[in-house]
Amino acid sequence: MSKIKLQSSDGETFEVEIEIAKCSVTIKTMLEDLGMDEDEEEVVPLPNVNSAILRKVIQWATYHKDDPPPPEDDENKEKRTDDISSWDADFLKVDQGTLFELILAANYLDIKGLLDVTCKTVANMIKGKAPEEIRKTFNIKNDFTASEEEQVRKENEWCEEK
Amino acid sequence: MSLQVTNVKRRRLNEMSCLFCDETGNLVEKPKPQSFVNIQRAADRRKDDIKAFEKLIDEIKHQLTSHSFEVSLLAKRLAELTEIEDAVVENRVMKSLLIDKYGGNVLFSYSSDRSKSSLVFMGNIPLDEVIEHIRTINSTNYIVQVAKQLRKEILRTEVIPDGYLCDEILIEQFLKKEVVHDMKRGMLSVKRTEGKFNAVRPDLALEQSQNRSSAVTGGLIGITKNEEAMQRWLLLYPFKNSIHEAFSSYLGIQADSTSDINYHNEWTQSRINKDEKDIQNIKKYFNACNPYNDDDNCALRNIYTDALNKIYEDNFQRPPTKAEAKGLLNEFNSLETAIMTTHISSLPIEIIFLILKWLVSNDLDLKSLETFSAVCRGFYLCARDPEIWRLACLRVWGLNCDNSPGKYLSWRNMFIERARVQFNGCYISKTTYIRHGENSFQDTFYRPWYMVTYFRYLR
Repeated sequence: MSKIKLQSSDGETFEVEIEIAKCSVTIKTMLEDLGMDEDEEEVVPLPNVNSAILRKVIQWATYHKDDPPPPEDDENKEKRTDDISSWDADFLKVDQGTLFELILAANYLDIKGLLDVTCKTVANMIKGKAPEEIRKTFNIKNDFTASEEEQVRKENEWCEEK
Repeated sequence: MSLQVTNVKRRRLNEMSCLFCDETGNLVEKPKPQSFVNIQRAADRRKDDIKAFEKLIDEIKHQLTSHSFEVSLLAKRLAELTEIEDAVVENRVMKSLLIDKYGGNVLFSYSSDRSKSSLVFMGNIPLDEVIEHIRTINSTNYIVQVAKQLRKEILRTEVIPDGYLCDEILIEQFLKKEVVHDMKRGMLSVKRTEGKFNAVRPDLALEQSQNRSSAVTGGLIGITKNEEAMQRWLLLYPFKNSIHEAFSSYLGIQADSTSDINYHNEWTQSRINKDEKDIQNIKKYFNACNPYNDDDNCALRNIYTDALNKIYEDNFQRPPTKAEAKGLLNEFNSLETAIMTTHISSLPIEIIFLILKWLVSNDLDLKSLETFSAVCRGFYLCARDPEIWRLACLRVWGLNCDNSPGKYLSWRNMFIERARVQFNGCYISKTTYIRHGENSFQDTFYRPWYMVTYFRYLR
């Protein structure tokens, strides 16, 4: 199995199997476009991903390498947030910063599966929480003025339980 | 003076005994008098009178049929009377409510001989009751009176043969005015065709035509367990559709014009007006949603600290004061602590949208989205993004959504205001309809109607 070297933003290089690396659409198209020789000792620089995150991404990709390719994004397909596998759930038991960086990395590397599962995790963090709880969870400052807050509350009244 | 009462069934007079009414009003049964031969003889004797009588009969016939009066049956009898064969009188002449109104007290009499009178009874009272009725002195007197008048005024003779005589004047004289009036207006019966014996009671006629129209279009008459009939009913969806149509036109429900393929509604003036209005609304929407059109006069606002960056503007004019410097420093510090770990705000907006799409997800949890919008200004703008609401609308109404929210101004508005199926809870549909049941053969006046109510539960 041929390998490829990925270099994180802080200079660390990771040697991964090409097949695993190719779950990133970004890397895949890059390899295809540039037509890299497989035995060539070339390093792919990933300036937007630091080593800690890249390690996690590789860990995730390795575990999921045999997964079927994720289905095309279809607006009508079933979207469920409670179907995260236990491995993924364990994998994503990280601090928020890491989670967001994983999202950014997944977005940058275009790994749909990882992006989906991380976004689902964040969505689950938001789901069912009151605004104040969300603020606390994500360390957000309430920047509404009192009147604005009242207005938003009024706008949202429709969905309150009757 | 005597009375003869016969049954509805045709019976020859010479086969039956007759009821005679003596002067006190008591009915006495006696053998039929041997009078018919005599009558014939009398007729022979007075041919002129007979001619006059026949003329009269014709007139009566004409009158009776032209009034659609079921006593036209009698006319036939009268015609037969000239041969003195079958002088039978029907007791079932009318069975309409109109007659009921007069208490069945409509009595005719005609003289068959100077010694007896035949009786015609109108009204839905059984024969037994008729006899009972006649027993009362009043009606007896009435009959006697009529008979006498008939003889005196019309026949002007004592020896004319049997005959039913009632021209208009007489009827008016001896019957209640309202009865005469109704008769003249032909209200007592309905003639379907010009045939002779086809006059029916008005209510019966109504019922018949109702049943016929129901049967012709395939409906059921009454309750049936006849499989064929039921099949016929089941197969009649076009008929049901016509009912549906009739109901919707009756209730003023407009048919959906868009369902008509041949109808292009793009080019109507109202459509043009609507489109123009839409454009205005879109403009309004953009104005309302423009994040730059803020009260802060486009001042920069620190996303972490919410401090307006006035100090920075001022910096161009003068050095910061100590307090301002301190504020700046604090701001920087808080900025740094916030930046220490990657904050949610570092996610690009596409990612936020992705997360929100997952948040709304399959359950259309717009409630979570709305609470999300109440967190802070940035989230508010994200959560109001039309795309998310558009997708939600698309999920709910599918292709019934146009390319623009139309009259709802925004997709969000549409989602909130447009009637939609709720995904939680239970729907109950109550359906009520009226149907009529079978009318029995014995009593055609009884027509049961059922109000059927049923419920459908849907989860």
